[in-house]
Amino acid sequence: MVTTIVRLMGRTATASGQFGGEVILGLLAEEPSGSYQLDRRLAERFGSVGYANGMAKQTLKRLRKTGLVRPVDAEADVTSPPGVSRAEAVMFEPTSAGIKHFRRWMWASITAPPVREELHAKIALCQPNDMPRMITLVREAVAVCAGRLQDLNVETQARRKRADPERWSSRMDVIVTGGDQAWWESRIKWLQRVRIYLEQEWRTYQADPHSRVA
Amino acid sequence: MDALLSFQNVSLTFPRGHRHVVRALADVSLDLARGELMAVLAGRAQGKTTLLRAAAGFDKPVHGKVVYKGRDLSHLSDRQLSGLLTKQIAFVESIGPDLDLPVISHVALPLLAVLSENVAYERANTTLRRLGADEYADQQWSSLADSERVLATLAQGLVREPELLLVDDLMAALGMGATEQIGRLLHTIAREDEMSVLMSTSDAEATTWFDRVATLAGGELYVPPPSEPDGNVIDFPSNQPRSA
Repeated sequence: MVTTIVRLMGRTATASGQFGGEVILGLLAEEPSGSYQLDRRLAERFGSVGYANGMAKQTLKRLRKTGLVRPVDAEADVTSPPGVSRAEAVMFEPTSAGIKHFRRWMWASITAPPVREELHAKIALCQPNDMPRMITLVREAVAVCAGRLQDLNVETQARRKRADPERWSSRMDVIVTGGDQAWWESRIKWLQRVRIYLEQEWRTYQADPHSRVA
Repeated sequence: MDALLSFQNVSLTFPRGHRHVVRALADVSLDLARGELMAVLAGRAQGKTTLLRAAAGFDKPVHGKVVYKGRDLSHLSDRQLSGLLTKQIAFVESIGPDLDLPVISHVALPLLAVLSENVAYERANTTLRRLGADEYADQQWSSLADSERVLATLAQGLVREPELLLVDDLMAALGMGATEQIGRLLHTIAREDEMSVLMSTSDAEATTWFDRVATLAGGELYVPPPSEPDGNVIDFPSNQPRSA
């Protein structure tokens, strides 16, 4: 079971790397920014994900190469705040291809658990009109997590039936499995809360589209 | 699949004040097979108790129906329903009894209406022994520890030898490892007696030995498809010897 946890954590780390580009695109779609400013916005909005400082700079380079972002005004005379280099202060905005890419990612299903991190980013970046799709995504995520919990239980049952209750390692295994179960349980409960909250927000928005959205 | 209990698009709401309704169950459908153990995992105030109360026929759906052995529960008379609840469907919850009697008396209580006192007490004793709870049969209910109380409460349900056991969030007070063990005990008994179990819980560990884990939030139920049958693996016998 320890290997399962390690595997899951590994997956989380790669997932963060993979969807980092979309997060940057989403932030730029909200407001054009330079890499220095992006790092600060990332920390503010996605603090718990723990993106490395300097991640924005590298991602911007990659996104620019693939034509998804461009400098807002290459000719403009950039005045950088003290301690920030000129390169870090150049403002970027998404191209139309970038916007299209971001929209596609927003609405795409998340099937590979752990689903929290990617979903976390989507919810943070979603606009009122995205809410019905976000609610569906959360529902799918609950189903995936419940399926995973069930698989874990089936596996645990089979292993315990074979196991020798007198053996130390079998007893320790109980503790570790409990941790895995608690992990899925908390994930399911978090997702359920998110869904209910989004549904409330959506109802409020439908009742009066101007009430809560700036 | 031969369903013992099924929910067919069940919705249930409760009035709150004059103008509002609380949505407790929203279009819930499920099929519980004979001998199947299904756990419903959910946090607080998500509709767990309502789901189980509807399964016992206590609360009637606003839409849809709850069917037990092909009969719509909301079409039964009170008399028919109470007959069902004494003999076939047992509902247990963590709310303790009003009177502080010895454990054995509480366990025998549901049987006293239909059996002689001697037979009722004998069956109560057997049930407690089977759960490994016979050592505190003569203690007052209020003197029991949390884990003992859970077993005694289960005994109140199992003493009816039900075909369907409904367990409402009984293990909330228990600590690490204990919920899994009680889940396992239920699994063993259900397999031996071909009893179906529908249990609500907020603890994933309690679901280890259940065939299916459904999740419930805001009255919406997600039920995963049935898992593969156990195969050839032989169950551990329950710890306590069964008396004849």
